[in-house]
Amino acid sequence: MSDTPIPAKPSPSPGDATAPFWAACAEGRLRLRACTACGARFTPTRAACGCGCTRLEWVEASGRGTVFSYTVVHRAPDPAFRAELPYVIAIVALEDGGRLMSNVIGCAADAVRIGLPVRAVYETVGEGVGVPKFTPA
Amino acid sequence: MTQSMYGRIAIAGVGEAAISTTQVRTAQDLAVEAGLAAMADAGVSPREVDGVITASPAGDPHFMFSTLVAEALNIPARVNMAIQAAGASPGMGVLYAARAIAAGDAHTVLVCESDSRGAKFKGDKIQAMRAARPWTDDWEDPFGLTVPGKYALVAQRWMHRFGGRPEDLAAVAVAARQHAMRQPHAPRKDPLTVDKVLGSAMIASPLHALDCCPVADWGGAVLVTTVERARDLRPPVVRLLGAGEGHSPYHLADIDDLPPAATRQSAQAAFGIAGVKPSDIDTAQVFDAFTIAALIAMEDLGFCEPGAGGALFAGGDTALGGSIPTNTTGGMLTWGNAHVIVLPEAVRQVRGDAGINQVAGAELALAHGIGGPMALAVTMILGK
Ligand SMILES: [Zn+2]
Repeated sequence: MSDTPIPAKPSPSPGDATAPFWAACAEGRLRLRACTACGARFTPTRAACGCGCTRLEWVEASGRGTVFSYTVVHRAPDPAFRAELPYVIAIVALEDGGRLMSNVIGCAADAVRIGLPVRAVYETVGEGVGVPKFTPA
Repeated sequence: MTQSMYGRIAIAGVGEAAISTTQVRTAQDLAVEAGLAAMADAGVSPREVDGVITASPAGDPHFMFSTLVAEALNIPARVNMAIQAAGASPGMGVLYAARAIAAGDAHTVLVCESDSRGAKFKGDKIQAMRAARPWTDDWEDPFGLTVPGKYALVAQRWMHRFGGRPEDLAAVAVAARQHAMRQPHAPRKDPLTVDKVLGSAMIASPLHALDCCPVADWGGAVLVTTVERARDLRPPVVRLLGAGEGHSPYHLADIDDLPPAATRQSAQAAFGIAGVKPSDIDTAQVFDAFTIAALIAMEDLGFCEPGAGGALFAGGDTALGGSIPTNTTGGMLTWGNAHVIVLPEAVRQVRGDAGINQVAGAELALAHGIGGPMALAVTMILGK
């Protein structure tokens, strides 16, 4: 018998620059940063585009993409993840540009391959904070 | 414009504290012990040293770590800083020491890397290291990413691109073990086969337990000075002939392609400055906390074609007598995650003082480090 509560997973503590991304996820939407000069799109870890432009805007993204790389994790970083072992971590290449580190859920771990089409699903983890996860499209 | 510092900077002393997976030591004690050993090797007292550069220990973090080390050693520092470049810190330390010396700001700089990650963390080392880390990364930690997981993502991509197999990765561990088995004090020295690696516990696919280095306590140090000054010291002069840094983003998801360009960028600079090519190098000491890291390093450093790293290790090229004897200590895969291990060994190989795993007639050695999962890299070429 085990009634030890499972500790909470780490959740994002966004700063001003990234809060709109996590807030959109809490509403079931995916947003990316877009360069107003060259149109490049990327995830919000960047405050400037590779072209040198620093004027970025938020754009809506479909949340569809493909698995760029993945690993099936058998040893968790903290007890909060232990119940889910083994779980899949993937880098997802979004069709609208940019890549995200996330999990692939809703399928067997051994069904995940590089190139697998996936779509975003969202989990709310705090007040105005959601995280994107992916499931086979 | 000053003349290039390369060829005018020497590594005049090397030293280690005992690497251990069982004994709890503080990062400061380990840095001091290694620093004393490096100074004794060169035959200089702390009063003759005027700079200290350290890494920033992650398992035993401390505020102003390099200042503490300089204080403990009573070094009258004119240059002092702690670098935060993870496994690339020892190489970066040598580079910044060389720059400070070339600029005339110091003449002799002690570069130390140490950490306490082994015995103090009981039980699951992956969890213990995560618990010791005081920050949360918004883009990685909510998904349960681990350090082996990061290298696994790189490995999976490498296998996809080149049709590689887990056997290719295992060959790196087997090659490391062959160097280790010749050394009486190596902590991992029972015979190893590809099947044994593939039969060890899966950590993060495709990386098995034996694709990962042990978690250890360690300390290592080198003394950087001018060639002019090194000539007056006891050990044979070993020069820094070329070096380079490479930088990619921190987050793997933000890197344009995997593997990241950092090692290739650092190697291009180092070989260009030294005016030599990979086939001129007699021995390579590369970052091997995970098998995939060393495999890709050998490709990125130009010792084989992209995709051929597994065959390089499996075919005996990295063994003594091979085309490029690599990680002749047995590396981190044998001794634990002592990133600094590459530096004293590269120096000893050039001195002809590397003991049982000496590469006969070695004149040019390459030392390589990676920080963060391949975000930063340093390549150094050392010679007589
Ligand atoms: Zn742009």
